[in-house]
Amino acid sequence: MKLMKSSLFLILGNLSLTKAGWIDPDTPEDKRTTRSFVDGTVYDLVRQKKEIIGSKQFNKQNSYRFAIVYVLL
Amino acid sequence: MSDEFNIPNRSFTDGHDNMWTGLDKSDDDSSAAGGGSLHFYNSSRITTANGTLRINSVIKKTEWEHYDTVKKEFKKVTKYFESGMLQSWNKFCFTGGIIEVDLILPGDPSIGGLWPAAWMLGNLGRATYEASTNMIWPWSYNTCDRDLQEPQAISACNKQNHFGLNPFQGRGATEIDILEMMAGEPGTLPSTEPPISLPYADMTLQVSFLHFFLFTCDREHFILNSCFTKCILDCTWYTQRSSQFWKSSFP
Repeated sequence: MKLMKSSLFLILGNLSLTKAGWIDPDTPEDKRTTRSFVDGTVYDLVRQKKEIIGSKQFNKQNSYRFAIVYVLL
Repeated sequence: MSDEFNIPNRSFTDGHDNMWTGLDKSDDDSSAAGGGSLHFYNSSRITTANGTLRINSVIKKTEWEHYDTVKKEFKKVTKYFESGMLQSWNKFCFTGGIIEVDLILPGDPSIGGLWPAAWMLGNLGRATYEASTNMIWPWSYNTCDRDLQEPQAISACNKQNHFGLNPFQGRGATEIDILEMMAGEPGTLPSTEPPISLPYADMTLQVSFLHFFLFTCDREHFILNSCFTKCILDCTWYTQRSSQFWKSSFP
């Protein structure tokens, strides 16, 4: 029973990681780039990179994604 | 990152949303502009509907025994508005690039008293949590200047900066406003002393202004300030005036 629970946890965890992207799937393709009014440079819409944050508060144990999983269970 | 707010009925109560947190507390900020905000932020005032994020402000009293974290004492406090503040604090940080926001300002541009804003604050401080922002906000100063040392909690003059921060490095929570707006006289609404009454707009860099010039007012008039109020009244930033969205971005 314990094993089943942890498997379920992992599956939901993966699902959650796939779905909870930092770019909203509803963002239209033509809004995924924008142009600087200063020099015309085109900027891409990017997802947040975990390594930029590098904080312990964002590791797997404390990630909101896993918090969501707990709610689901 | 992006968020279109297309999913209806989202809740932003602490722990409910992956990107945002709606506050459940008083706005205790007392600034040079007024004797403290009259808001009590309630996360239930923030939700999503019809593909938009909605922050609903109402006139509603909230009274409680308040602990003043600066004076370290309890006092009875009354707030006259219930509204919402949505924060990304400690959830995602913006380190550079362009931010785009489509928004409609609340209320009617001819009725003042409100001070809606879309703005950023360095993650070192958390807005409305005074104990975290006192002498931190809005400092970005990283030079040792003996005249400026005292009001900056984490100064470049300090041999020892606490909380594990580097010595001789000034730190702070810098404020960058995408848009702040005061429409005019508050009229019959409860107001601060002095009131939030200035026809006032604070926008970041040229892009917001670009929109301002293109759609509302030309540069000459703006500089002369003679049609400032007219600009706001005529523009399409308020629901009452137009259903058009206003867009801001900046490098």
